Amino acid sequence: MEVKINRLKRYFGLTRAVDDISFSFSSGEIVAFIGSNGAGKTTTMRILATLDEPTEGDVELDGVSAVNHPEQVRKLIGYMPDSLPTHRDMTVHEYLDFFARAYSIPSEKRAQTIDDVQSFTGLGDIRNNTLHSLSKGMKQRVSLGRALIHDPPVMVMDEPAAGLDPRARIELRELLRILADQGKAILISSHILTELSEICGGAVIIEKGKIAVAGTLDEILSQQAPQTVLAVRPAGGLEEARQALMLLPNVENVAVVGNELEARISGGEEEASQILSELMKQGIQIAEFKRRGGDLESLFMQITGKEDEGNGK
Amino acid sequence: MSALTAWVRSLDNRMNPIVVKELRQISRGKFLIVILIGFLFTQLTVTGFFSVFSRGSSSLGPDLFQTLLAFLTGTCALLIPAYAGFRIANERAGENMDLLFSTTLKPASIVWGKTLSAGILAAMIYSVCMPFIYMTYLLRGIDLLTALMSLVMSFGYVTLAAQIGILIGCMPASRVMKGIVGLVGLVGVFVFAFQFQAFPMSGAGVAARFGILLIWALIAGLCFLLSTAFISPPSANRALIPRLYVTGVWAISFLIVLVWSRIAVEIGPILMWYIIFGGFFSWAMIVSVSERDFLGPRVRRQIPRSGLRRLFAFLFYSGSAGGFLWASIGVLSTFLFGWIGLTSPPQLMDAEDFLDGASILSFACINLWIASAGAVLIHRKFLKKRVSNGYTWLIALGVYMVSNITWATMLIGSGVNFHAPIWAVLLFGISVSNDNPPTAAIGIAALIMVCFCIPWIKRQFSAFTPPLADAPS
Repeated sequence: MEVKINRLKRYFGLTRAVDDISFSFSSGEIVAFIGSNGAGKTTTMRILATLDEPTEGDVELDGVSAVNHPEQVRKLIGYMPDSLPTHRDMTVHEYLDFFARAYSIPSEKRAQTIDDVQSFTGLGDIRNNTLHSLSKGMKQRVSLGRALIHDPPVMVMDEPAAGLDPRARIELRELLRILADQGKAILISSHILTELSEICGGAVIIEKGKIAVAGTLDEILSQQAPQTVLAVRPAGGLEEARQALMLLPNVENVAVVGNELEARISGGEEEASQILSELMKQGIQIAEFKRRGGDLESLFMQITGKEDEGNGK
Repeated sequence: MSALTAWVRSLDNRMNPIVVKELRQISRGKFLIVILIGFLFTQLTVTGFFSVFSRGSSSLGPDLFQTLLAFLTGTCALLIPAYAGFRIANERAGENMDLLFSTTLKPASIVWGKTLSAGILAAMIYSVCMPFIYMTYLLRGIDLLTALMSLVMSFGYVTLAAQIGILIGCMPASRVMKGIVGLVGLVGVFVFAFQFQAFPMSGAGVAARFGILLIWALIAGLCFLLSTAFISPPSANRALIPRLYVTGVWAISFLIVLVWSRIAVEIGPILMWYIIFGGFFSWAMIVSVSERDFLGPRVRRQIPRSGLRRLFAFLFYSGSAGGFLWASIGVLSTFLFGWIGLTSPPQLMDAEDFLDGASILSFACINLWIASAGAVLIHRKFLKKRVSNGYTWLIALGVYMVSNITWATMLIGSGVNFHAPIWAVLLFGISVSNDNPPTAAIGIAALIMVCFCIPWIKRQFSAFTPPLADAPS
């Protein structure tokens, strides 16, 4: 299944919520959809889920247009909004049963489907609890279960990790990995970028309705961050290590930050490993050596920072 | 698999998911239990009261029946619409409705499910009351047919009230606004329930009762379609079905009232038809100017290419200019056909009454038309960038009130004796006066608005085209 977002525009009066964006993703991929609040993420996702209509452009799922055939697209997409189910008078099982009926899953298959979803999302033990009584993490699982009830090949998830505790976040991450392994194409938005960088193969960063950068994580990180920052914590003297670092090739600048050295180098992983072996050769004992920067978080800050500077001008 | 299992499964597959969900929620909550116990207790008390204090009275049966029926109708007509309306309003406030639209469930199925659930809830309550109602038959003084017919009518009325409650719940308005509209509805329900009490014994024939049921069904049908339109996504062709329905009911009801007025040789039916549809189309003018100007790709791909079909589509599809034109044609046609109905032979009694009523209504309709067109002018020329189309109705009402107040002030200032009271002038712009007929001023205002509206409607019609690639032939 290939999802193509093609020159999508969505205007609300004079506001350009989504302004001519195009990207694609396909089965087995988890793509991070990143942007500040109001950047146009939710609008794009709602168009994908056929809840909104683009001003121009289209979304196609294996050639099926979301504009022209929303009924067909609804069967192919599992949408998980950022709000959670909170009914006081409905149990987990009844909630899933209702949506199974809403997707016209026949009664012969319905019970088995609900059982499968409950067991996959770990809701089996709380199937008779009312939604209102559940923790946020459990509600999030119910929401995921609801989105999966008709076994869609494409998942669109708006802030699924918002407000979850670390344990629930890790569990959600594992579930997403399994779904991707099952061949689902997943578009996920989140503000917790470290989480995304661990599970996503690709990313789309959107800012003020336009795509700032898109591609696989490796591609965009290497494109956007030609400079690598190394954090080096020597086991011995800080000054001695600083001197040694300064003399090495590819090292452009070294700063002392607390009990660490922050070295700005040109190049990527290869150059970093050469620097580490040179330091070892010179007998500098290293307690910690890690690459900093070039991650999704710094990239996002870099992009949104540029935008802010641009606006400042 | 046994035949019974297969049948149950097939039934299960056909059941509306909303009904299943609603009934589960109703049975889980305390609402139903409280209501049922409350009804049982009240009926026992009322029956006991009548048995003690009206013992030996020849009208014990009818009196008790009327009291129980009025209580049943009044309470159900208040509680069930409030419950159904509150539930759907609550769901609309959150993202639940959105989630439903990401499924394959259609908006009409959602509203139908809500209606059916309200009907089943009413049926449960009515079933609790059945033994008491039947007991009144045993007390004599009322026949079974009257009792049954009255119960059917009562149930029909409650269903209509529930549909109105659902409509209010579906309205795209704030909770406060829905609450205000709901309160107005509440007063209406009370007044009607009070009147209803006397109806079983009024001697009205079966035909009259079926006639009333038919009118209720038509109103409920309109409420159903409007509710569906209200909860449909903005990108849908929301206006099409309600406009087709209203046009159809307008045409058929005209034929009915024409025949009816000829048989009864009186203008009552035509006058009522004239007031209902004149008022409805005037209201529709104000609503339609608040619709969007340009259609999205989903509706545009349904626009026919051929000229005449495209023109009809323009009138009936969602869109401000088409809707305004449809409502304006509706008002004009209602005037025209009302006049034809009145003047065609044989001569009807009290025709002068019609002229008085018609002139008042016509005046109000033209005033509303000018206000709606004026609102379009103000909004599209000056406020388009700041205020969304959805608020044009508010501007129209503002224009309407300002023009009426100005008109009333002018009339009072010039010492004119007008036939209508001052509140009527302020509310409807009515100023029927022999000394100072308003026709000229209204005519000039209308003409100015026509001059503005024609280019606006022409522009909108030119833009009302299917996308080049996939237009239906």
